[in-house]
Amino acid sequence: MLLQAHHKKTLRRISITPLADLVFILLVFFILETSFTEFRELAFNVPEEKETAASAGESLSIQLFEGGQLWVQGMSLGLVALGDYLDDKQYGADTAIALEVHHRVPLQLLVNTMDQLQRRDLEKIRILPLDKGRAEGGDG
Amino acid sequence: MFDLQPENRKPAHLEGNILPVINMTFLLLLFFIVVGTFSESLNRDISPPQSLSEALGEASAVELELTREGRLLWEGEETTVPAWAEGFRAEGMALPEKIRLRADANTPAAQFIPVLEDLKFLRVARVSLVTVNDGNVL
Repeated sequence: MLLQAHHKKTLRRISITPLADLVFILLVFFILETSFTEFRELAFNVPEEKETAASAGESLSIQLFEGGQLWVQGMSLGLVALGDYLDDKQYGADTAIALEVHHRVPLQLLVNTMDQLQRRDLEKIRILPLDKGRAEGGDG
Repeated sequence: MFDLQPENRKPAHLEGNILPVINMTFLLLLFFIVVGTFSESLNRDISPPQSLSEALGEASAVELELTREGRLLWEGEETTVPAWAEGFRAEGMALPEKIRLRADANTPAAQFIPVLEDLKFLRVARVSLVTVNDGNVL
């Protein structure tokens, strides 16, 4: 009888230390493996040359240089000024845009420029490499 | 000498004190499980550019990765666009019309544009660039 009572008492005292250890390990794992980054996507069509050429609407030529400098229809603009320029000109959604990019321009600059265009519903964008002669002209 | 009473009491007292800690840990654990998403499949060498664009679409889209050095990866393996297309066709699948491209923000155009040109050659009509928005977008 005494033995049984003692046995019951032992059973009631289950150690929670291994449980706490395991929970801590799981917590560390989730902290290290979890990402809170909210990914987005910038979608654009990849138009073929003939598709762009056959476009009935207006066309706009933009050259993007390494430091973020833009040449739009022969004018030198910054990224913010490009937004103002586009707002001013009121280009329609069917405007074919040729975006010529200097080979050293990082993707972030290209995305910023495309953001400005897409915010104004200009989605017919053709990304092209800027030919060497003009790129050197822009560098200087 | 045989009185075990104080020794028995001490651990019980300690366990009582760590219970709130364990509760808190469980809550934190639940928080990370529910709110976070696993990042194990993401290439940590690639940090996508910032943009204001819309939220990421379908999860099943075919995704290529482009590092800042110009290495193109598909399912973690280095490839080229023609080799990727060949592998895709070899598995009896049609090439998708839409590709998701997870490229590094510092990838130069010299690396990025040829990939676009190759995709255009394969008649991929739409490319969606994976971006992030942490509020520092121009």
